Amino acid sequence: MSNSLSHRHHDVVVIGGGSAGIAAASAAASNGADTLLVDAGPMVGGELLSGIPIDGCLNTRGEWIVGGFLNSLLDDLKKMGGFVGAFFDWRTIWVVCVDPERMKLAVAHRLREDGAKLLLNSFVDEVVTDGDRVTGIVVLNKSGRTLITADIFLDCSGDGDVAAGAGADYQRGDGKGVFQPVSMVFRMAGVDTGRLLDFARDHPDNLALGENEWLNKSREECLRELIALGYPKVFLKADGPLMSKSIAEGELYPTALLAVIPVSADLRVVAINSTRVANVDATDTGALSATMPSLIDQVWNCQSFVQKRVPGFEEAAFAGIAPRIGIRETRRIVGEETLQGDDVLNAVKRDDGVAKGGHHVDVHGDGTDQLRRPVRDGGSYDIPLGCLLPKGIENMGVAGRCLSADRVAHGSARVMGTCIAMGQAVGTAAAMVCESNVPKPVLGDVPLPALRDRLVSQGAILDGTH
Amino acid sequence: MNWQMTETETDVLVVGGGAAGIAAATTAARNGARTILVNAGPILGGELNYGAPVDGCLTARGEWAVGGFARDFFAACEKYDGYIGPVCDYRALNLVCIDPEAAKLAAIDLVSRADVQVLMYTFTDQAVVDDDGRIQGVVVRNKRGRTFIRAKTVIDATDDGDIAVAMGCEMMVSDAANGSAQSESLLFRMSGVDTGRLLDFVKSAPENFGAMEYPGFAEDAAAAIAGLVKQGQPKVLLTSDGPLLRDAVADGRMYPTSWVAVSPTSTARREVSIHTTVVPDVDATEIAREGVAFDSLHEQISMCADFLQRSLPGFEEAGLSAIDPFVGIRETRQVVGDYVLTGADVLSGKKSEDGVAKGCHELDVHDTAGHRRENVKDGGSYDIPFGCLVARDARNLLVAGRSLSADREAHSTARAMGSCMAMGQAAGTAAAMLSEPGSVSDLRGINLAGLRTLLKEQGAVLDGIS
Repeated sequence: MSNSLSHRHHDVVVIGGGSAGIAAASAAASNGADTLLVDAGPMVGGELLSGIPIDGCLNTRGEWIVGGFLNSLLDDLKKMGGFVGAFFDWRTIWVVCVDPERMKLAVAHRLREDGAKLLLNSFVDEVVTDGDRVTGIVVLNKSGRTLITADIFLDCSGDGDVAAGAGADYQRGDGKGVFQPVSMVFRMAGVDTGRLLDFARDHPDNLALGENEWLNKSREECLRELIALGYPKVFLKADGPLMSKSIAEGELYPTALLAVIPVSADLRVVAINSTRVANVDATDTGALSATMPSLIDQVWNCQSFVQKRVPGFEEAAFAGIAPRIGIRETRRIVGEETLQGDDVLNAVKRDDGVAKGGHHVDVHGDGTDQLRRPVRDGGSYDIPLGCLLPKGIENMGVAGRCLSADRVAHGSARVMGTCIAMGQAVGTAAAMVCESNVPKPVLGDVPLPALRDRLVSQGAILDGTH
Repeated sequence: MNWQMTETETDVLVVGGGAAGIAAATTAARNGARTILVNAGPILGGELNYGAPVDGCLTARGEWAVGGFARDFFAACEKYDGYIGPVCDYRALNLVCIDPEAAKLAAIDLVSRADVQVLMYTFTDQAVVDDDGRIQGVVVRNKRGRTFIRAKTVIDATDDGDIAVAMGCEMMVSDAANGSAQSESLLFRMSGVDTGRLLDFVKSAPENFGAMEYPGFAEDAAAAIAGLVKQGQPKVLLTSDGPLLRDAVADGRMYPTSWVAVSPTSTARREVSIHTTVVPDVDATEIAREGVAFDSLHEQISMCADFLQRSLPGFEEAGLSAIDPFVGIRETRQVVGDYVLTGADVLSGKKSEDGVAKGCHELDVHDTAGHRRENVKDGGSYDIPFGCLVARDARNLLVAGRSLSADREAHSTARAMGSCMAMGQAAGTAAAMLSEPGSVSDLRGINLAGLRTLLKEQGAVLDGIS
């Protein structure tokens, strides 16, 4: 809060330290660019620290469709004892379950190893533009104001704040005030997995199972497989007898799901994804802040509900909330190209793909409403670079939830595995256009075959899967 | 970016959502003032959420030195199954142990139930001051844009005196804020601790544990250890005076540190917090301002957890369960107020007719000269006069929390969270009085006797204890 403006310059500046931003910053830095990652909060990792699993890393067939940075991060996490496992939910998706506390360490370690610099607790206040270029951002923190100039800016803010600030067009929600709900994930410790799975076996009508035609398995077969897996990974559905009765009687708030997710290697701690407040524009800070009392009421309601009604939770204790409110949907930046829902559902492959998605179209609504549609044949779709280039801004990329996509495609591409793949793609592209040392590099000028070769050589998965 | 600035108006604006800020905002609103609380981070509660015991609530003699909001806060923790209560360290202090995860819910619960309007994820940008030296309000910035919040009274609970600095008030800047090396706190939690085994070990090898500095706790060190064991809580201080820690540091199994404090956080989870000091390879200024933390500290967390698991009985089965979001900061800068609390005031247990809060934590200075600790006289309390909360260079700016007007020695005790809550309650009550119709508009005109009466009616402890 001083009047003077300090200045620093980097080759690449990444805004937002969630799954897309850390991948982008690590990729840019490890490819030789002087890279700064800016985040408004005190930590990096975003939703990776929430307790929900990393979706979108494997397609329904169980083929890995994201590699590269994800592999490095998961290797670090394994060494720290924080990798729980990758497994099929016998509903429709593969999930990668991680310990969110150890993930804090793994993310910081990975960024440090790859040489990305960090600027935390710093809010992007202004975007400075010159024609079709962003020349700088002004960030605000306890030191005052700093002008940060760079050759390439990567907006991984989740909300497309910087792209929007630079004048990029965007869409938000359904355009009429409907947004996927925000959620507060929480954790319970001391869960008895055996009892929980016995309950699943004896009362399978409470579980979401076999929701994907490609599986070609009966609910009974899926149930057997799920129980054989032996993990506290069950998806209680709202229209099952247990939840529907409690919701009808007012014992539980209306919700579409109560997903139980293992988050510790000893399987005694689980995260629960269930709470929700829909149709909040999360870029309206007052409205987002005002959801907090409802979300914590729901957290307490839900933890009491599982203790009382879900076998395996009798002795379990509340063990904490995610570091922040989880947000599914805000702005989608309009890019050179827009990912279409049909491309996602039909698993369309592209010669110019730079990342892959495979999560089902997963659009949560208000209360018990949720749209779930699988990707064709349990496969994956390609995301072209054009979806990551905001239209009309030549030195900016976007990655993560704010990619250029229609609302249906966004319902799939918004998940963390896909965000990591997009982040690695734009981070690598940014470093490559900086390598040429031409003044005023243009992100879209990156030669696509060379970018794809570089990504593949660094472990990214672009071809060879369904 | 062309964000339009909006304007809003309130009676009381509280900046900062830590212990002092939540107390100030809740109290101001309960006393009828329209109140806005602005916080840069995603949750409320500040260091109450970190897992360290709440210090500064009870004197060494065991008398409660804070009441009112602090007791309400503990009751709310209890509602969320997260209150352990007063615990004696049988060394120098009585502490209040809470579950930091419950504290997160409790903070939101209390603030929202008092009808405080909360803006999380919101940074402060500028203070607006008129020709008479009155603060008119603060310009804040969040994803929504820029808002001028006009307020009759502003409470600076930023812990760094950010608003006072922005107004141009005179400050006292500590050595740490000037960049001198200073050890910083590191906090994490481990669950699955066997308290019985731990205390058996304390009994059999007492030379490893700190005890007995305040003579009131026991007749001698042996009796203090016996008291610690009898108390039955995992509240112990491993010191490098004993062979266990000393040898581990000597042979490189543990980084150099003089102590490791273990405190209970959850009985249900058999969880403790681990608090130790480390010297990071970045200076305190950068940590305070930019949050450089994890990338240099993750090795120490893993090392300390390994050391405890392998060497401290009771920890054999324990695992890392949580890592704090931020390195704890002890001091940055203090506002120069109408009165500057001194080390002599504190150590002599000085009482004041202008007292609006009480402190009782030991004098506890960490600096380049080492670590100095000394109890308040007779294990009692001292008063914090109203003048410590009134910025000398302003007419309607109150300070509450770590940036109160105090010299370095006094600050080292008044920074305790219990005292911060008491100061917050005092500031919030004073601000509410100023917002009443027909009230004086300068803090110096406030009816101090009336303020003290109101505070006492609302549970604050101002008199009647040592």
